[in-house]
Amino acid sequence: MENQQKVKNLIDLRSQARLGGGEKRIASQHTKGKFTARERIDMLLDEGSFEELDMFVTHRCHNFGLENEKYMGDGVVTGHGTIDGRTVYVFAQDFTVFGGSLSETNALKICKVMDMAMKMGCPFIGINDSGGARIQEGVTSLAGYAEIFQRNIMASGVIPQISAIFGPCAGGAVYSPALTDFVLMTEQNSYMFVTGPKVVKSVTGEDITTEDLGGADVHAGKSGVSHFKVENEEEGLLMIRKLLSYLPQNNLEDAPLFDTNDPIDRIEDSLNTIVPNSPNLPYDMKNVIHTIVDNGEFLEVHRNYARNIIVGFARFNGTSTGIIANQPNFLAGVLDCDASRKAARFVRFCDAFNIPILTLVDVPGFLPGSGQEYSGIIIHGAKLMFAYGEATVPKVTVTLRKSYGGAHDVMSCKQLRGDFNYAWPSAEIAVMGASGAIEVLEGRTMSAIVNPDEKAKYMAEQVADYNEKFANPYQAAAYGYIDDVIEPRNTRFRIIRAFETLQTKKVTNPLKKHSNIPL
Amino acid sequence: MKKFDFNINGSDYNVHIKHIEGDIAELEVNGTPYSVKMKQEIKSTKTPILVRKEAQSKSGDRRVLENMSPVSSGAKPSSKAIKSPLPGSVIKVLVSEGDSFKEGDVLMVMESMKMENNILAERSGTILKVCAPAGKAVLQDEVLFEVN
Repeated sequence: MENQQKVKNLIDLRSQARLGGGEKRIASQHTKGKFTARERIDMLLDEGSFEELDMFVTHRCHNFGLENEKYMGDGVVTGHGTIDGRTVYVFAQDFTVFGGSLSETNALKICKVMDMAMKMGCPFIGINDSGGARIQEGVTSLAGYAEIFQRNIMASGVIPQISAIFGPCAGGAVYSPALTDFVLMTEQNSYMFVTGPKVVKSVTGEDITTEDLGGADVHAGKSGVSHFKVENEEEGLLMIRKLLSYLPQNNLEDAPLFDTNDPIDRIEDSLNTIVPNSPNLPYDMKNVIHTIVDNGEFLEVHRNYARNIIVGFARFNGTSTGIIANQPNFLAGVLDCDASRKAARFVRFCDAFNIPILTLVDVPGFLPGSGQEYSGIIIHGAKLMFAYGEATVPKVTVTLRKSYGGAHDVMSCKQLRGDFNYAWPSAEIAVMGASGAIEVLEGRTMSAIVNPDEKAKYMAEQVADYNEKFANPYQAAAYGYIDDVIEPRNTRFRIIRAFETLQTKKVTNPLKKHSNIPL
Repeated sequence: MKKFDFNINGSDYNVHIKHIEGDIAELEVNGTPYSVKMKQEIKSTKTPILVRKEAQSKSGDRRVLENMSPVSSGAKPSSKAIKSPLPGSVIKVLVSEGDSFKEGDVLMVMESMKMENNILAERSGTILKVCAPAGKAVLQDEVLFEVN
């Protein structure tokens, strides 16, 4: 064969490989409103930056007639490319080849790019669209999953790992996304569950649709498995680009610094009046966040899950910052099990990747009741406290209004190594609310008063006295637990200055194998 | 945005750059506005800019406290309950039996954690029964309304 012919053969083979499972299956993927693996990668990466690896890999299975059916690439597209000029490693499962099922060789391809991502210190993105394990291969396929899991675990906290779910992801396959830092699902077509509706029906008799069992709404709203719910694949892929703009390439670097045109000393008079005069009235914490960050850009994580706490990324003077904020507008902003877990995981992510943390506090306390206690609010609340106390990144806290009891301690207080703790003049920092406190402190005196009118009067006096003494930031400030009481309209400037001076912060935790966070 | 002070041939110029989009810069020189086309390559990126979506609920700035789930496994499948998301007490009930409601409507105001909370409808329907009248203290997950 002449060399010329050999080159032509190569080109033919490549174009054959690019077709995956064939044009018919590609068309069927398109009619479902889904894109193919290669189309997805093209949308995700900078134009022309994708370098594919292992295009000629085929499976090694000789069971069930599979030896006569081989596709180049074996159902997964892997390689590297750039996002805003920064290298990332990707895999995208190809549903047109054996339903994207995971085989031994398919897993080897994924492991190869994961190893490279680790070696090079680059983010790793997986686009999942797979029917599960390739049953014909038996246990080698299972081993393949485990190889991927182990690499996910080793990469955790070293490089950012992001999973997009653009199709089925069931059985053991769900654990790879679950081990990564962020999971993203499309509203249509995507679902995740450990056991599907058929098995559920046969075991428990429960009749449930795929959508109700593991659709995007379920995981973005109820279970919290998914961090982002997106309308379509394109939005999802652009969301990944946006998310990566807030993250460093690995745990030894800082997130990229962006040039900003938003003045750092922007005064926002609206903040002086945003907290209602009545402590019983809620307000939208998101208004505060959008007002103080650069250009009003805030990427919210877990938008639909445990909405009583808000977490997400924004920038201050171009520096990527993780924000954790209580939301008085939802469930009064209480800390419950879900909210504590959500925030704790976010704090740990930021700490692992050198992203400074801003905490905005307006929390009435932990949610009381048997439901919460039985669900282990003690353990879940401890997670958040642990995460804050362990974090060594710059931590700035602003208390807007309520900060009561244990919840005050949990929300990045001074003693949990908060670097700068500021408070608005509307802040109320105390062990408990006035009426509760008076009932305990003045219980004996009160029970001695027989006349109910007199009793109410005495109570009101005592409550007013208590509020005067404790429902303000100045007692905490007197002890230095609050570094300064700031005018709300200057909040942006004070936060930026604080983070600026914290750039050289250096704190190390004692050497240990790892901590024992209350999981 | 950015301010520059120049002194050229003895005259002072205060330049205030107000906005840059693509290669067009809006600026003010000594208070006179100008629009200047800059000679630079426009860098285009696929990465989107985030714009805040309006809050999904219609009830203005106070919102969303709702929870819907089947009453119990024994109940009729068509009957659903709106449960209390928090322990607290009912301040006022804004609907009565037989009223129909739309998604996002405020059905009840309750006080919990010393805060007023609106109970909103997660979807449209009709009130079959009001289980928690004003003044009643409710526990978490206690049924507030039965709806269809």
